[in-house]
Amino acid sequence: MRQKNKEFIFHKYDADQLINRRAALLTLGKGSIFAILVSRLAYLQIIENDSYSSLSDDNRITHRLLEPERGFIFDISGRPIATNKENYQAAIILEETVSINAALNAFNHVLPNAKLNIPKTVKKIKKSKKFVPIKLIEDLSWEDFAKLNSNIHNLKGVYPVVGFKRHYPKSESHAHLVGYVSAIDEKEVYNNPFAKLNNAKSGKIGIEKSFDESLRGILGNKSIEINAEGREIREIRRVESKKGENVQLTIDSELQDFCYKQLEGVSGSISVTNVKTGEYLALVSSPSYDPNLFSIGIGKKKWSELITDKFKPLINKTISNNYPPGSTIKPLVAIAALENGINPNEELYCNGQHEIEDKSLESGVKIFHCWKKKGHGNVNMSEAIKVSCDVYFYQIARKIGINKIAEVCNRFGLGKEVFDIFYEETKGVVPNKTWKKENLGEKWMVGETLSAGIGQGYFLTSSAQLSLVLAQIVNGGKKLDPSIIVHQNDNNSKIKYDGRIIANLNHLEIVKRSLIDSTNTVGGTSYRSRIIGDLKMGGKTGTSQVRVISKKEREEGIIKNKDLPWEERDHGLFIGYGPIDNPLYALSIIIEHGGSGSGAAAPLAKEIFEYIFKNKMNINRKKIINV
Amino acid sequence: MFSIGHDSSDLNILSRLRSINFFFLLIVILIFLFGVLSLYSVSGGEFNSLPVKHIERFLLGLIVFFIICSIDIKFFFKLAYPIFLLSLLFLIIVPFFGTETSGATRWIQIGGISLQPSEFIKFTLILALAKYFHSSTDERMIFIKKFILPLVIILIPVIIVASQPDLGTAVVIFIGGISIFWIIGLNYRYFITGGVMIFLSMPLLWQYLKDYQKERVFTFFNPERDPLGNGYHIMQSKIALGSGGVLGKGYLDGTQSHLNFLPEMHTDFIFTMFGEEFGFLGATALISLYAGLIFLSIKMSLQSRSDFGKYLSLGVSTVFFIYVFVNISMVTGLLPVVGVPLPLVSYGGSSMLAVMGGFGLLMNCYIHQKTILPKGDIF
Repeated sequence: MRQKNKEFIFHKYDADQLINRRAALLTLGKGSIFAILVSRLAYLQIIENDSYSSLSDDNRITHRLLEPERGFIFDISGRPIATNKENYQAAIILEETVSINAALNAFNHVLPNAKLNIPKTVKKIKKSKKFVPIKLIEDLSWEDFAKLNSNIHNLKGVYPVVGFKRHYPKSESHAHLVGYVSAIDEKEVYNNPFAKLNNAKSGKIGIEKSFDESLRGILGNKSIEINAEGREIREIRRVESKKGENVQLTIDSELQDFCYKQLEGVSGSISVTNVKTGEYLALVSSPSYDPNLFSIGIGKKKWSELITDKFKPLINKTISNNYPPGSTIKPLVAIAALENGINPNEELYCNGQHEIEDKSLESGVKIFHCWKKKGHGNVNMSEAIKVSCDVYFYQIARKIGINKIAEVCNRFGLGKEVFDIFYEETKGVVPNKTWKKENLGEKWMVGETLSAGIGQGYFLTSSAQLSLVLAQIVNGGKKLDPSIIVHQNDNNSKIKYDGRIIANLNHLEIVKRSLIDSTNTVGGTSYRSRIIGDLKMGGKTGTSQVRVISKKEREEGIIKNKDLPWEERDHGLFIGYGPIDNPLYALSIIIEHGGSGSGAAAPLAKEIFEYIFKNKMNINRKKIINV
Repeated sequence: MFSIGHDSSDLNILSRLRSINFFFLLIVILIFLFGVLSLYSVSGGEFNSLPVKHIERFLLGLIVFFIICSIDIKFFFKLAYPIFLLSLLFLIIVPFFGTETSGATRWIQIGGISLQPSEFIKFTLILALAKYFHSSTDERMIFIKKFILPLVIILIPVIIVASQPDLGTAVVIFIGGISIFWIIGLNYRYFITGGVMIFLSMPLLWQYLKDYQKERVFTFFNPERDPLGNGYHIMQSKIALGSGGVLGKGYLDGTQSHLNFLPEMHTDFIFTMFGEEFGFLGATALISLYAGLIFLSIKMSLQSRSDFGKYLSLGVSTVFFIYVFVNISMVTGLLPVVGVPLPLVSYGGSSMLAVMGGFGLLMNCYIHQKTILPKGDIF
């Protein structure tokens, strides 16, 4: 029937039968293919088993990765901050020992201070292949290593091994900035090719983390012939690894060390900025830790000590911690006032407090106090900065409003990261009306403008930000591009600023004059810390409150800082620059819960500027060139 | 008319789920467990992200399976073309929005999950063809020209996937689609003519192959040509399997696999590691499970009263068979290495979801075996 008309392929009436027939053939076909697959397996696994088994025992080619040396980190004069150091180790190869226990006992006899745990080590060795060297101990002293070498004939199967570990010669003083390296963790496994290496490390924080990719270099590899057990027979091909690139910082490590010494015994930070180039010469945080501990693996006990310490030694307080700027914000508030038409010569009266209407209070008024209970009397702008009169700044802040203050603060670099390279840097807060609406969902209150006028309330800044702000005030309002890295293609001491961030230079002169007076004339808040000599320092103190003083406490007498628990004492701040005739450096000092800026921070600035005027007016730049 | 079936609306969700062939599901779960076992071994005896993710994906696949089972077959019947067109759309946009891994663009990101549209088109293509032929065979006779449109429908995804380039998947899609022609009952002589034509056009198609694909074909015919490059994989795979012997080297003790001689151990070459560790007996057991699943699915397919159900479920089971066949042939050196995973065992999310979705369709036809679907206009 099908043949009748060739255009027809089949007839509907036998369609079901046709499908069954086709499905049967399909089943048969699939069955045969499965039979073929099983026969193929039988051929490979039963008939050819012997020949494949011997092939599997034959030598084959495999690849091993070669670890490059990690790049160094230098300071601005080429002094090493992070290098690699020999790590003296001892290893054991099981098949070369007569008896493991005997070898380990002998080892303990030669190096008694190594205190090797024999049962634990034996367990570890027995788990590994008998021809693979197993690390017994690392970070031996040179004396112990020499002793091991001279006794090696008595220690059959034990070998001295020289490896490398990250070394930080400056240790604590540079710890937060440079960071540290430690074992690659699980999160990094997927995007760090070094994870495939045994024992590989990666930068965890600071420069070591930010520049990990360029510091770590490029992996090499070698092709080797191995036997079925994995023993290396010979090397066939080798692609050398490439050493990581060096990183040079703008830090002067001597100045950094000096600043670190000044912070001994207190919790706080110091930032020093070159006001012409925007380079940071010191970024110091205290208390600190020894980053070398991480290079060979920090112990659990030491680690938990570090993370539970109330002075937070692991935090970089120059960039990761934010504080209310207190009175150190006043120069910026003054600039905002000047730009908005406030006459600097106009005198305002301070009787020790300022009242504003507040309907939520029973009395209907809210009282804002000056730090000086009996008031400063009539003060103009310069005088107000010099004596740090709060009432003056309450009044001008109220006149110009928060948004104008915030605009000037943002322009000078507050409220954003200073460096764009650190994972751990925080932005701080420059509050304004929109900020409050977006973050707290509330309307801005007049009282909050007053608090902001003296750097309290929602304001949060970092030490690195404050020294940048001052640098841009004293360099004539030139906008700086802050940096911590000496870039390979930069010219030495290239001055990089692109335009001014201020329209009227007279405004800056007024503020600068007040900063000079504040430190160098009688009655100024930091007069006690003035420098006597040709080169002088100018600056502004700040004391920022961390607690609210109740009305009751005010009436009964405010509790003195030294009588409060540490956590409730005021922060002491100081921003300073020098020399005043031709400004070169600006710094900021924050002493956590130090009591006051004039008492805790300004004296350190005096020490540091005396050191700078003596030793660091001409920094010897030595460029490190990567080969 | 005298209807001997019943309407699918007689069934509610619960009764649909109750009608699932649980023996079929049991075999699926057994094969999947072999996969978990293998991935655990690949991870070096650690319960890390490989086996854990595999389990997660299977559970997700099971949910998809049950959802598809609980839907009325008429839904898939009505929407067969739109579903196919949607998956085709995803396939087409891959080159524009997809992500590239090792020279091939196959992945697309959809809300944090990356999917491989080429895995899904295998089954949606079968769905579209089943609907097309269901509707066509209502006429007393069928003309050869009725096969032109389906052929075009098959060739569009095949060409797109082949140009990604993913030759293995393209071949699976092509054979899967053509297998429907066989099931419909297209005369033998067309298959013979087609086969001869493909054979004759080989030299022409050859030009379109990428260098590495040509290289793989060369090495397939002569693995010793390049024992450290392309031939290496095939040779190492054969050595691993062969040295496994009858009983295998023992779980977690496959020397070849664990010494990293094998590439893609968790995906395409997972059968090799399984065969090395569990030997001929283990490998045969796994193959028997696959065979059992496929024969059971053919039996289930033929119980469908509607042509749509028969075509769809036979097609799905054939696509599944092709996966298994190509993968095992590949690792045993019977076919060139083309990159096809072992379904339910290899590590891979899209393949797992697509296979479980395909099984859902197959089971859906089984559940609705008595449902009569309207014939008529093919669109």
